[in-house]
Amino acid sequence: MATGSGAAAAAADAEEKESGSRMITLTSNEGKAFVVTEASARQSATIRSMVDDGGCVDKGFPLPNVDSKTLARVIQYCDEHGNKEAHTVDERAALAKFDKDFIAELDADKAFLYDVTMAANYLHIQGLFALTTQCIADTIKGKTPEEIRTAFGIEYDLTAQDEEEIKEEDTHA
Amino acid sequence: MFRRVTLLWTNLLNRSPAPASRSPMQHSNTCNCSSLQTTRFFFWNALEMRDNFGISICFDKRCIVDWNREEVITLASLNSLTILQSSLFEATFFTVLKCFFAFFTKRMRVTLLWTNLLNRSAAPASRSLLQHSNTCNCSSLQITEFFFWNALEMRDNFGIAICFDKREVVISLASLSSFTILHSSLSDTTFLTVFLECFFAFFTSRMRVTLFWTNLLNTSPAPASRSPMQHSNTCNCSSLQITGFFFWNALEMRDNFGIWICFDKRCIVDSRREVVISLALLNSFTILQSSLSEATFTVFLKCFFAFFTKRIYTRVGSKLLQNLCLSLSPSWTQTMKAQTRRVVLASDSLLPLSRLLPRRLRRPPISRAAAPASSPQAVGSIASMNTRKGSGSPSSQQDGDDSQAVKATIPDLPEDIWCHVHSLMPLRDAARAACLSRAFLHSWRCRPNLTLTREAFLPEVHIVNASDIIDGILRNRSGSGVKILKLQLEGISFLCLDRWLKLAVTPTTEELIVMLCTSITAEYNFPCSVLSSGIRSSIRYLKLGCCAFRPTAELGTLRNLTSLSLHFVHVTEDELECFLSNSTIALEQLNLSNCEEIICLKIPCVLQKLSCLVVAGCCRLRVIESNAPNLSSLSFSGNVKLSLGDPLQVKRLSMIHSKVVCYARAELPSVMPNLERLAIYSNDEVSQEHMKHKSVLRDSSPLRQIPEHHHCYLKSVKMIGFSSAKNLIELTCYILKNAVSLECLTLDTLYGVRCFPMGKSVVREAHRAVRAVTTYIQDKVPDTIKFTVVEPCSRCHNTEAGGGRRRRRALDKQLWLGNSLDGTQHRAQSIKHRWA
Repeated sequence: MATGSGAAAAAADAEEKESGSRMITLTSNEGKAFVVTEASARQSATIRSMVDDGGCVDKGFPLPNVDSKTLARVIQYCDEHGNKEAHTVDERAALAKFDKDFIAELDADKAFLYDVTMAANYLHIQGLFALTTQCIADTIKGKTPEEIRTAFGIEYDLTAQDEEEIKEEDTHA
Repeated sequence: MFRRVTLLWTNLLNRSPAPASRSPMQHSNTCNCSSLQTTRFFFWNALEMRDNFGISICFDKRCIVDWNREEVITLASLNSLTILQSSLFEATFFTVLKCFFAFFTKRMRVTLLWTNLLNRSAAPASRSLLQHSNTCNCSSLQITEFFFWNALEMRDNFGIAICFDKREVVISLASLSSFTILHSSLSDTTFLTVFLECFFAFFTSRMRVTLFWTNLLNTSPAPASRSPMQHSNTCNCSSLQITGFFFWNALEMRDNFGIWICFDKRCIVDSRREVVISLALLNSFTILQSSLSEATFTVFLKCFFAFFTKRIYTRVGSKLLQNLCLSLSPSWTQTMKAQTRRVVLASDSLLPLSRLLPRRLRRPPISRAAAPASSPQAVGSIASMNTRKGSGSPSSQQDGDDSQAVKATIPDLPEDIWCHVHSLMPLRDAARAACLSRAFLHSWRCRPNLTLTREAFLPEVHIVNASDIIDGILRNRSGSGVKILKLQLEGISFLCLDRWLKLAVTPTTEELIVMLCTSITAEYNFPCSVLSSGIRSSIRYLKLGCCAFRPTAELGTLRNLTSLSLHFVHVTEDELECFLSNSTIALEQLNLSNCEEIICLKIPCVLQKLSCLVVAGCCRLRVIESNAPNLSSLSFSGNVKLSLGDPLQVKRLSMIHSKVVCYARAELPSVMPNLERLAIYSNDEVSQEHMKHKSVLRDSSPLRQIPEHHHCYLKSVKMIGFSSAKNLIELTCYILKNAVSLECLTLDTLYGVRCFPMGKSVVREAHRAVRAVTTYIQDKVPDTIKFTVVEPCSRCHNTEAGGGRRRRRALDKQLWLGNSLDGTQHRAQSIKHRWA
């Protein structure tokens, strides 16, 4: 079975490589074009479905909701995950390390992190979305409400009634 | 007379040629027409239906109930305004508008009319469900209208008894988008002088104005989509739009599902509604400002405040105004001052509305540098805001500005992303974050996963208080229901548990985990009615622990249940068999542990998809009789007689019992020839504690050679409890030599758990084993193999504390009980002993 599945996987790889050799143009909302491999673009379920639907692969895909800076970063992620393989332990570890560095860099610039999150959500890049949202969740985790509020500048906008209800359901705060 | 006039008006406005087609057959053609034509088509159609077929329902609704028909008619008139403007001179058009408004102001159901007038953009491209898909391609504006039309259509077609109250809301919601369109399509003067002023003058006298205002202000395009499928698109909208979406959504939920919670919050509790409404207002201001020219915006604001001054919620206006003054450029501030003074006088005792303002409204946007000189009052306010946040000194003001970028972006994440983030946090953090802001509170309330475990509450909260808290959490929930519910608690009254399950389990629940603790006096009887109600088709994963599970045949089929786990559950073999054959057709994984009532486990052949069966610790179990045709992974413990429907399917096998090595050697190869993965645990045949086999370190004779066989498929070997026994070393050497595809070899000299208190003899033997590995094995391992030796921990296994044995026994028990049950179990157990 081991060889069987190996052969199947290899065949699938070959096929993927073939389709991956096609290039796809993504255009940011500023009109800047980014050329990526199809394998990379396929990381996005949104683009994948457009490609599979026989959409305008040649003409490229305009992404009116993503700016160039964000798109460049998103593509960086997609390239890494789309063009590289993750079959062996080492390859997976390399990807995990990439993810870690990638998110650490994003974490330093929160505003940009949110942009990337939105883009990942829009483009349905599951891995990236999980990565960024987890990062945001981790930022909030373990902080007291005051800490979070000062860290993020969240306005207190709850009414007295809300407070009453919260008291009812939470005493940790 | 009125009816006649209305029709007249309609006709006047609806002066474009009649629809291209009138019969259903020609209907298809209309799809190609412009959306304007389609709208008219609807109108004509409605009338036509009445005229041609005399359909009573339609007729009833449209004619007997007079205002209903009026609506339909006026609906059709919406589009004509554009046409009218393009075809008339401007002056004429003004007159028409004025007459039009004057006319409608006197009407009773004017709101509706207005709504429709405003909602003058093209009608949805399609109306039937089939055509619905086309609408997805339309712009978001079209979709909104579609919704609106749809709402009316639903009422008309199905006579849905949504009270008029609600519909009015829906209708006015629909008018939101038209404002933008109106402005873009009319000339500035028309829009300002005639339309806006008439509009405000009109609405000031209406009762439901607030809502309307909300909608008017909330002029941003409506959400791109309304169904969950389309939902994802909305993420592309700006956060402002999303807020709008939230508001829309909330109303929609109420309307579509009649969820009373929402309704409660928005309508019955009046102050609440106010909040929601004002929330919606706030965002629209920004949008409005950015989309309108300065002059327009001024007129708008003037009218706006003039309106609110007269309303009860003056405070809303006054605070808004104050904050607006801060956020607008100095020239704006001038024009607003008079208004401010008037409004501020009005009231001081209502909502603390400043909280409701989005940040961007609280600070001067670009004019930050210029503002200090021209409006010291503004700076004062900002400073005081900063002080409130605990950063009053001038230097920290700088800090505040530096972090501005971060601060401003936080709320920009859309609602559903926040919900997702929220669901990633542990319960405690999520609850804490809910106290931060309204948006956070909202995402807390709709959190899809609730993990109510002891850890989430202890140590701060006593478990008795915890039940009050859980009550609160569940009662205050909103949104679409819990997807994953995990109840893992002890000492909770059964009444509470019943109540929680009833509250929290909704038709969206996919995973349900109820793990309790063995109770001293009684056992909890899991209410099977929970399963038979709404979640029958949603539940995918069910895990029960320490309770009684008494399913009956009436339970029905759980269509999507793929995984079932029962731990320490009282269930008889008949009950289980009945449940399996009647209710769990889609089951893929079955996990039973410590279910002591089962002696013979029968898996019926209806479980076509069952691929994985795990049975552990069921001490009375003697027979496993499986007829599931696709069982490929099997794991069990104890001396059990196996009877499998198709043993050739089995690829993974794990066994724990005393004679397993023997069995594996003698019988297994012939019974399950397709085995790919085998794990065997034997206490009797191999043991570190009482070494039955001679250690290689004490036997100087050379290693024996086992006859060679090539094992070309063996990839991974792991030995747990590896000792220095000579035959074990010989076996390892044999494997290294003959398993040509070996990738991974792990020799664990402990029990599979490092840093686990062990008996002295075991640790001593483990050290010996490590020595044996270095002497006899290490050199023989080729570089291509991943070789791991788990050695005793130098810290945990060096010194033997006095209480070691006792501790070990306790931990042994814990291991036996499984990881899911923590230390609480021991306490319960020890209490039991004491009572006994």
